[in-house]
Amino acid sequence: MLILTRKSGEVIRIGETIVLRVLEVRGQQVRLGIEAPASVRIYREEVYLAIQRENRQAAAVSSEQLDELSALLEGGGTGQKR
Amino acid sequence: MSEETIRIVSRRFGTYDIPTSQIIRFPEGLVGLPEIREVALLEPRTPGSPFRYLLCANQPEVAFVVCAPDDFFPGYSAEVPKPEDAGAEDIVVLVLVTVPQRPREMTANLLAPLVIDCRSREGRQVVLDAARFTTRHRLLSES
Repeated sequence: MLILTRKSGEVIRIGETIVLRVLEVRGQQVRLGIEAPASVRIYREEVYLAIQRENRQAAAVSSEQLDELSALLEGGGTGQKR
Repeated sequence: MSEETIRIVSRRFGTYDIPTSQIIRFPEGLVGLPEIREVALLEPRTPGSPFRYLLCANQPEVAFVVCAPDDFFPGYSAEVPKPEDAGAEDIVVLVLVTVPQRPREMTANLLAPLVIDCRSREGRQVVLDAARFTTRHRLLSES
């Protein structure tokens, strides 16, 4: 991993199009400003990982579960919307 | 002349002939699953069911349950950002549903909905405000 030290207000450029600016350092928190093309998706790591995990779980649905889902909805009162 | 179709053969979900015009592309894949590139939106197995299925055309053993979020969470779609040049009828918002061991406890991922542009038949999974939405909102009541 490349490690660089920067002060508040200083900038790192990644390639020609991405600019990462240290806006503020206060205690344990760092505020960063990021400029990047719209095609570059930017996520907080924990949000990215949570969505990836959920997507994988959603993809694990089986044909049997789909049938069960149908049965659940056909089961009259049990299928009511919240 | 009949429309060109693509045949999706899935061991787990069966065989489908899908008109190529109905294939939805996700050029970036899903978040953390970049391999999900082309999907077919299948109609509910139960007529009138709010749940439809996304079968992955390029990975046919993978499918997702999806629903129109406003059926369960009125007004939600309006909060999802859309392309500026799109009219209301051009965009479909769907959310991915996770079906656990007990299907009653299924949840919808409101944090990261699918936004599909019907004009280009391209979709993208967008990420909303994590302070307001989570990946797991219960769809059915507890009882």
